[in-house]
Amino acid sequence: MFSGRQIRRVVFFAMLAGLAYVLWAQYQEKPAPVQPDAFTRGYAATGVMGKISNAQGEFVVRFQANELIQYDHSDNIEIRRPTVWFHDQKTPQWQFQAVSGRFDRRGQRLFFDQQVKMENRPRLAQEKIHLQTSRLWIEPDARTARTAEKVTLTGQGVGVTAIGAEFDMGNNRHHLLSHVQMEYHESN
Amino acid sequence: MKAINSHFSPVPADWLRVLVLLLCLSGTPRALSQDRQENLYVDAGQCVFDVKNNQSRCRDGMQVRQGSLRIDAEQGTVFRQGKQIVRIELRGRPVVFRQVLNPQDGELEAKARYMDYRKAKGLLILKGQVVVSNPNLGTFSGEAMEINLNSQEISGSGDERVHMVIAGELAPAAEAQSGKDTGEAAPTTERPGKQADKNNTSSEDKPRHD
Repeated sequence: MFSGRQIRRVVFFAMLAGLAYVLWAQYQEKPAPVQPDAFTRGYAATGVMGKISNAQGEFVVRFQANELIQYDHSDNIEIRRPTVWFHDQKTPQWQFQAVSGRFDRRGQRLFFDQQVKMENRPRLAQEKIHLQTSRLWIEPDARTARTAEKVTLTGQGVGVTAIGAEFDMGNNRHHLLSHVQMEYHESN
Repeated sequence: MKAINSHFSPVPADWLRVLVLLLCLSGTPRALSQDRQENLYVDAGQCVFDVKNNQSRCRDGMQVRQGSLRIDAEQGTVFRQGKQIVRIELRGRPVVFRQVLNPQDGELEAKARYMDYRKAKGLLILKGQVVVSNPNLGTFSGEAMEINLNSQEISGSGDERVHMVIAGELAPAAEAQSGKDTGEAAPTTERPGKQADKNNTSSEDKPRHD
């Protein structure tokens, strides 16, 4: 049997050990990431339609979205169901759609995500193309876009798939980066 | 086997066609016409799809397929007019062209460093270490040739010599005729096994000294 004194010593050291562990655990734990919540400072707009003009006052971009969300701590503007049209006197009109996207205000570029569709409205019917991919980075000023994902391109009498592509909307010339497969629908 | 001297044609030297061979038409349905009904496929490592100029330039390996047609190259360009492919230009080491033109004759295989497949006209222009072969007809080699896929004519071009090995029977070598009548059957345009008309072919094949 242990004496009362021995029991008191064991309890005392057990409490010391517990206290030491608690102090150690506090210093080892990583701080939880800050999660913005619905009440984070920022703004949101629904049913948005807008137009952008250049320094010469020419109308260059028209956009539409179900919702635009800007958080105070972020440089990005989140976009729900975006549709963007590029207008230019020299370049045929291009349209982009996706499930979601964001506008990177620092890089001045658009990122479209999920079910991205792209098509043009050229003067000549043979220059009409449709593009589909899962993700797309768009550089509005350069009139270019790129993706590292699988892309499907449909033109007049031809269907193309590839992995990775860079699109030149100004010249309607597109660089397909790998695993290119073309199917020409020959008609006699 | 010696090459056929190219200077026996009545055509002036700089416009010479060294050799014209007619592949007999079998009368049976040709594979070529069936191939044209099918879609044409192009597989490549990379391509530039130029919508405005209606062409595609491919590299890092390129394969073209349409029915029995198969072309393997390192790089090439597909030219279209409207929806139709009019021409495919290919380069490789070598480019290999295979197609069954005629079910009776089997597959025609052509190799060259450069090929210009003029699809709309049914012409195949070959340049650079050209070798054309067919199991029934033999092997032809030279530096430049032209194949008419519709009429199945193979012709050499320019001043280059064409070497020919006829398949099948022990055919006489295609020797340059230097005015002598050897009495042997000259290389003919007929299928192996058919007797050549000595009078006609020998007069055509004797070199002309202009």
